[in-house]
Amino acid sequence: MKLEDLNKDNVFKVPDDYFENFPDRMQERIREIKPDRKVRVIRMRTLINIAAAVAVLVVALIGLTRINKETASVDQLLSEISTEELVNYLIDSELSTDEFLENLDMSIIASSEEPITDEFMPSESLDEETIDELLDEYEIELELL
Amino acid sequence: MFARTLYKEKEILKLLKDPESQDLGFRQLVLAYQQRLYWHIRKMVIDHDDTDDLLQEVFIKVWKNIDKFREDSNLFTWMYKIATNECLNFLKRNKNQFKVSMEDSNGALYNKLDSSPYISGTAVQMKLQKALLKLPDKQRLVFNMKYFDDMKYEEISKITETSVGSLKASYHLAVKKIEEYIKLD
Repeated sequence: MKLEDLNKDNVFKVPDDYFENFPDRMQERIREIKPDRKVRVIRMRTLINIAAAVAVLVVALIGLTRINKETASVDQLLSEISTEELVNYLIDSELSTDEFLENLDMSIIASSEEPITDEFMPSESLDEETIDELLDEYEIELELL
Repeated sequence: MFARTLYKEKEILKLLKDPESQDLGFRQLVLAYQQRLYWHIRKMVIDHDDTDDLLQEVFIKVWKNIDKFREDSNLFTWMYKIATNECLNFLKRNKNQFKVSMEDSNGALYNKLDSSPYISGTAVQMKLQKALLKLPDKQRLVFNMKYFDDMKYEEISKITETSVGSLKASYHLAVKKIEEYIKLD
């Protein structure tokens, strides 16, 4: 038997009205897909917003880093000044002892690695009389301490 | 509601590219090509429900990728190519899923020929269909396009991206195999 002797009739069939209904079904499928495109647009907008926010953060971080650097350089400059020079400056300034004590961060003194042994803070123990004299001189009332 | 008039390829493309007329363009596209694509897929996957699923996938791919379509090429050839790839991938997936041997690779399709609804033909016609399932999928594809759809080798070459010489050789080999099978049976 040769192939050319066979008829080419289609053995496959389709349900009734299949091709009549298919375009409507297809249109329905496309409607389901369409919101995807909108979501994609929204996502794109969100991405742009995120990018803008990141850019602002980066700028802010750069700014903060610079400020920190400036602060660090002030600290560095201060560290180069000797304690004696600082004390002399404070004596010459109009800052009263009370004001000075009020604004002093005691934790810095407590944590200081530098031994406080200059003439203002003698290392040897003081007798009561000397302490009273010093307190009178600096006008500090005992209860304050 | 949309008109039932069949639009020409260029008109359909124009409608599809304009967001205002996309829906009308898509409907015209489906109306114009649904039958030819359906029969192309059906001959490969045999079952109506599988064909229906694949046909929808083909049109969805067309819808999603219409922007990438080059207007200097033929829209139907492009769609035929998408449908062909969908068919071959589907058959490959099924074979991997059922882990059938290469010799019996189309066994599941063979069973569908006997059991699926919407299939009816004379004994000789059914014998031919069963003989076709003995061919490798790509050779069966070439045979279908040449024998049933009466397509030119040049056209098949564009769809399958195979040279005309290879296609001619493949078709003649397929005819020989089928005639032997029919004789033996």
